[in-house]
Amino acid sequence: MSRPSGSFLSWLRTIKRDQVDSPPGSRLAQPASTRDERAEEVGHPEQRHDRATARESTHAVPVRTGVGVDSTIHPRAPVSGRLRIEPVIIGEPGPFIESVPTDHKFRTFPFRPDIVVDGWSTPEIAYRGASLRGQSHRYYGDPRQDDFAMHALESGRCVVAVADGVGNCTHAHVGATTAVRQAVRWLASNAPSIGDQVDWKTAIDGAAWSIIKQAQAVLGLEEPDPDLAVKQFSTTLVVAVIDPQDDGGLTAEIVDIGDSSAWLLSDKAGFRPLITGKSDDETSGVSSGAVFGLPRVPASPTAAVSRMEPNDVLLIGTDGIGDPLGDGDGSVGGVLRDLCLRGELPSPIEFAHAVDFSRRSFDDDRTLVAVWPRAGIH
Amino acid sequence: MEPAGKILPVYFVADESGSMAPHMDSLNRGLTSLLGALQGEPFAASTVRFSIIGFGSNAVTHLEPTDLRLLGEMPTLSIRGSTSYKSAFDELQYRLPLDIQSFKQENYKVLRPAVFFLSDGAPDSEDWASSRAQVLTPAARPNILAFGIGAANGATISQVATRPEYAFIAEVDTGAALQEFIAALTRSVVSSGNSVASGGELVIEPPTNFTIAAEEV
Repeated sequence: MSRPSGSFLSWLRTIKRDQVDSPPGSRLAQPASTRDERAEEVGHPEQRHDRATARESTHAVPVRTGVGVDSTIHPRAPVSGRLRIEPVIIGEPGPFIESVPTDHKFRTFPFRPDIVVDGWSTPEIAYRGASLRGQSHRYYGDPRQDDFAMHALESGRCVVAVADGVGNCTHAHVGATTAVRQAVRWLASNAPSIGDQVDWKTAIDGAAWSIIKQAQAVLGLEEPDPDLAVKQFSTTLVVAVIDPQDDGGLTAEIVDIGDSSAWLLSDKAGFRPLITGKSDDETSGVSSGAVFGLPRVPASPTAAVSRMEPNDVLLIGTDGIGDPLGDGDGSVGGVLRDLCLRGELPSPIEFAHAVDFSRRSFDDDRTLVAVWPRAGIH
Repeated sequence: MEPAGKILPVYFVADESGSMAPHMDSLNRGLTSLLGALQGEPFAASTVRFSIIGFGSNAVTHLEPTDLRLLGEMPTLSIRGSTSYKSAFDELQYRLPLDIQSFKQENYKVLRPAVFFLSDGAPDSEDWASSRAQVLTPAARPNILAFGIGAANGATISQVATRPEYAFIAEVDTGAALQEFIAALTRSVVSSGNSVASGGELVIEPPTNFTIAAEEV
């Protein structure tokens, strides 16, 4: 563990100054200023407190939580000493290493964070997403080649895209980011309303063309070069359009290019694959490391349509999740069940921390997006 | 089922015929340096299972597929007579299904095996091509990369490899070529291991001072 920096310690002191008392066992505090802002955002004048009063109060502060249910935030215990978050270890751990910066040969894109975390809720849909650089990439200075994008449209429809840049392509991370952004942008413009039919062929072809154009820009080419884009920018892509239904369930229409995966997870049925992802070649008994990806496009992308009951969770993940998960009956499946099926939302940070689990021999980038019908969240 | 991860089986098939005698120490030192290099690459090493088969008049598996992080020292190769390609392929034909089955029983996903075949001379007069063909008959057939040094013939080396671009013939003397080969083998194993660790596949790092053998025939 690296030592906390000076700025971190001053931030910690700020928290301590802002703490209010809490019963034992309460969760780690967040800065009081954040909590106050949340109370103000939701517009319950009778629930607002003067900031100073709220900070000093030892009484519970009623607020509207992120999932739209009035509940109570209990006052919290003061934090003193070092904060420490233990890694989630599943079975035998992999090596624990400190990341090195992304190597200069990848620096065509100026910023590539090690971790991306997101999460929010609409009245009908709750979501968490995390994309993390694999231990192997952290060790060797390779960029996170996975990426994802989730967007809520005004109609209530949500669109999500997950991409996994193909391992040996130098600019695969650029391909992945371009693909998810273009896919979500296209759907927002061309199929924005609940029930809108999606022209998947045009959507996928558009994502592929964006990668080719991005490759032209990154490499400074005079003309687009699809072959070079395939060699250096290839990426898998999963795109889903999620519509709320009147009964509290959701429908999800999913298209995939390459070897990422999607599952419906429920208490009763466990992990049900919605798209194929990667599997052993039944004939040869060996697994293929070769991946088909954009900007190569299938002749006609096939969409899988799934109905989600209020207690189902939709999971979309790259093979960094799919490989250790397997059929979901093992210990990684157990952790994801616990994370996603508790009837309440994990915090985005908790979600990302769980996805960053350590397990020997599983060192690839990991991206996981989870979507819940709000009706199933307590 | 609890997945155990993905592994790439790598087989180094080494010529131990009499003509290799002046270079055997160098080859053994090269294998020791490969072991050291892999032990400094924990992520690459974790996805590779390295095996060594030596052949002369007959063939011997000196090292069954092994996680090199756990290996104390490499076995020592030694001279064992003539140059029986047939015995080398027969040994591969015996080992490959056995090893793949063993990995799968441990819930590993097994990538298509890679064979690095090194020879410094012409094969014995026997039907080695049929034995090679049998190695390649199963759907789980390996990729075979062939490296010719010394008196090895480009056309023969091309017939060993499974793709034209997998056949390499040295342009320099045997001692120098052997060093280049070991360096390329090490780089290929490390790059492939890292590639597999991050979702990829076999990566070939061609040796310097070798040419693609197919171009010579």
